[in-house]
Amino acid sequence: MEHAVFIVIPAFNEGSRLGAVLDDLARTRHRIVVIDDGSNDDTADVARRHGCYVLRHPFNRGQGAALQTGITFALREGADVIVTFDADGQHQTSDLPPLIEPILSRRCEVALGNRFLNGQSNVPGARTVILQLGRLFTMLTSGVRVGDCHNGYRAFSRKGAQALALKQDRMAHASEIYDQIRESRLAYEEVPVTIRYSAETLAKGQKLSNSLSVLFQYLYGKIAQ
Amino acid sequence: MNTFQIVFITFCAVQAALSFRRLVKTRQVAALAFALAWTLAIGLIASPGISTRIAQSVGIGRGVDFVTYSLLVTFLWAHYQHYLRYKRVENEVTLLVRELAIAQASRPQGGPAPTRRTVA
Repeated sequence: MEHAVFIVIPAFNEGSRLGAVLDDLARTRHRIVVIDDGSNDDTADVARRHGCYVLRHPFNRGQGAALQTGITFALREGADVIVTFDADGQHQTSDLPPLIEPILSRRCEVALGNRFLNGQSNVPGARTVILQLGRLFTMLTSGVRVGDCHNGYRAFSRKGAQALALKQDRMAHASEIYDQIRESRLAYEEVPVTIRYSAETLAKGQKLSNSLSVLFQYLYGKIAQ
Repeated sequence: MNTFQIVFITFCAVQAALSFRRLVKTRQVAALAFALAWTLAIGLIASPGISTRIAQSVGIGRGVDFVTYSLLVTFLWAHYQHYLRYKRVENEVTLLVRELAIAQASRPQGGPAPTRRTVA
């Protein structure tokens, strides 16, 4: 039986990098959903030209909101497996088959990418420290034991995706996902993935100051729930 | 009555009058609360001894300390309430944006037909 695999890509002003990512993903023949999160550039046009489903937030709502939009859409379209994928070229298409394999073989509902397992990711030292602190925080707050955190490369079974209801619109959604994995008692596995950092993605990605901002978003969000 | 009292009581009286007018028009609890708060402020400014007597009755020496502590607690409570309301509105905006984006989704030409399922 063929499974409907949907790749959900939130994108904000990624017009310059998205094309290469979509060219690479086209080889997989899976359905690709790009959520243009209120970009000011040609992100949506690039996605349309590449034959993707394109959803557009009229204004920016954050990565968490965009992911939930894509997941909700994919579920309504009949997805059996949903993969979350970054638009900036950090994730490798070659990691996709091993990532969805635990879902397809029904070993778990959630497969979490782990950039530290295969030793092939070029994670800068400072980023490693931040991620390891984040990992400890995640284990303390959610009880989910992981070797990586805030890795956007994940796969969900239909059941796993249905259990998600992200209310953290911005980056703290990555911590919220662990909370919901625990609350819904979803079986999960970590799968080695390679993350390729470039000067551009490093400039855009998580810094210590951003991490504190994410921490406060998460805590404030918890208070408001 | 000194100049400070004249200026601030006038200001509070105008605010109280506006709040009472809004209360009559809208019957909102918030308008009543503001009207009462401004009226209380008039009383405390006109007769500072009141706040001192209240302060001493609850074990705080000075009236000004009692007013400061009360304002601090009130502002923190109000800030928290506003934050909760802000988050609710934010979530509602996101839900609206989401449904709009899904309703207007563009599909790949010649792509697979959707296999729609009902999702909770």
